[in-house]
Amino acid sequence: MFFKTLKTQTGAMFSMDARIALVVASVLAVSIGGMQMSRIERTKVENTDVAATLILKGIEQFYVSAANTAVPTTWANVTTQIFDAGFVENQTLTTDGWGSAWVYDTCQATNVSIDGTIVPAVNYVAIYSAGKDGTNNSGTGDFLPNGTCAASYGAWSPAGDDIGHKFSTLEIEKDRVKKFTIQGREILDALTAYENRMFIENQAVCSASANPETLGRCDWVDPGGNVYEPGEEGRAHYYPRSSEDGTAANFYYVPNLITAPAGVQNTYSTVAAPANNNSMEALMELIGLTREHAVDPWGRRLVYDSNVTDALTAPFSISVEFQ
Amino acid sequence: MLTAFAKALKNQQGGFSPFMLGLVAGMAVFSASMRKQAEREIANIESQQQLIETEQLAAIRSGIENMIMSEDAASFSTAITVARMQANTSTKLETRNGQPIVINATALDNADGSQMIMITTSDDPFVRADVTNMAAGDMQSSAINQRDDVIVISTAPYRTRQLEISQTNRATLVDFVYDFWMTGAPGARELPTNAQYNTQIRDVYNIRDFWGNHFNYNRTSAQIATISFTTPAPWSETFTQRIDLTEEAQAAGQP
Repeated sequence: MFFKTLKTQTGAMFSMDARIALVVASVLAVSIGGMQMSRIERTKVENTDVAATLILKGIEQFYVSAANTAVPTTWANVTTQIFDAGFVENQTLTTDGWGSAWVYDTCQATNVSIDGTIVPAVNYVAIYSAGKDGTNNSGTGDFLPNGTCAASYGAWSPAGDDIGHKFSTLEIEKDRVKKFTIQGREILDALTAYENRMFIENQAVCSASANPETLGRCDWVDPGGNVYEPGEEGRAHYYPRSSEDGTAANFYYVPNLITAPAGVQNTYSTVAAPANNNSMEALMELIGLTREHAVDPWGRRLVYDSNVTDALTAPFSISVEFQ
Repeated sequence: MLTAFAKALKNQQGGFSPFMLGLVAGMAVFSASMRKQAEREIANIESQQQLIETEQLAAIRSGIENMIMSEDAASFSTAITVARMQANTSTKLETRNGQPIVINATALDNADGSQMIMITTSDDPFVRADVTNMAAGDMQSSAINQRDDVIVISTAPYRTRQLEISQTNRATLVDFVYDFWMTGAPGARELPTNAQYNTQIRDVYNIRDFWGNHFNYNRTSAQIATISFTTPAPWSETFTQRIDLTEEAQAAGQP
């Protein structure tokens, strides 16, 4: 009865054209629906991929922002140190595209030689999502062990339908080594320039004086004596004095302008607080560098020794290192 | 039968059907736009893949630099392998289809420690075979060197830097040796003995060559000594600096 009624319908909807249109529209709807489902899935994959990259970028920013030498070692630390601290602003990235937890592991290689400089540590990070199937195919637990850190990191890549990325601080450490090398060279050059300037300043006074033997700044062989040998002023120590000098002897030249109240050259202390006027930061200002030169790219403070061998006569050896 | 069908087709007299025509025209427009969209996406994917390939090769170059410049005496090696490179780069050392990249490295040139390395990230079996079998002398001039997925790297700049760092450190030690000589009483200045060098210079300053080895100091007389370093085996080249203060000693009136 129903089919008969349907057959005898004469309305526009039931013409041959309309039925063909209906079939075509149905096929299109199914096809577009399928495409949409696939696109949604692809979007989740892409979002997860981008999210992993953004999280690693956040970790990189965290690492360079404060001369850090370690990365967050647990996901809980990533949450507090990276997300809560604003290195990754989008809080929805704390889970992957399917709302599942990330798999995160790190390892650290210490005292690594880069360009002949030993850096405190190189850190390695891997982060991945278990993907649509929710199965961790790319390692669980400590899959980047410290003992085989660089090799494990090198061999790691996301497996199955897992989506992830890895990141190491090697490139950052390379940049730090470059900055460190330049910084060390600048400090040594500035100290040497300071020493030269002081020597020339004193030499000019001694050579111009009619009675250099009466001048403490010229008379170094027999202090208080009455003999001046030409060039005698070369026996003084013209570098700034540091607290690392183990000798009590006062063979440092006292420059005209920068002296401690008692007339003795300021002793720059390697343990003084940065704000003090005898700190390593103050020393950097003395020799014409910025105060930031007193801290290296790893956050270690300058230890300047003005008399490495505790020599009592010239030549004197100086050293700069960061501890 | 066939004739009847042809006749029927010829004599078609169906009325004009705007709905059907509209549907067909719509399908044609939709299909054309989809094709255009697909073409755009393919072009986009191709340019992205080219970019990825370029970035991958740059990362490989950087990985080789990292690998060499982070060597120490224990990890020194002339083997250029995926396993060694992987630990020094975050990039994937695979082709687009998941095959391992192909690396062909020449033997070490002992004069400067350099090697030529040819690498491809291509999946093309002919390119892979060419790179595998490329003779050392042909790497630079080969036509496949022009491809976007082939790279030729010389380790000479990195080995030179290793030597420069070692030589700079050695020069610093020579300065300390000279300072030691100067601290002697005028008229009796001498270079440190081997034992004095070890305790008063080597162990105090702890300055080493690029690979973390101590320099080798050898005093042959009171005014003459050598200070040298030897690159790790199988490179095994010794670079020596002679310290001769005979003239200075004579100028100071020493016998």
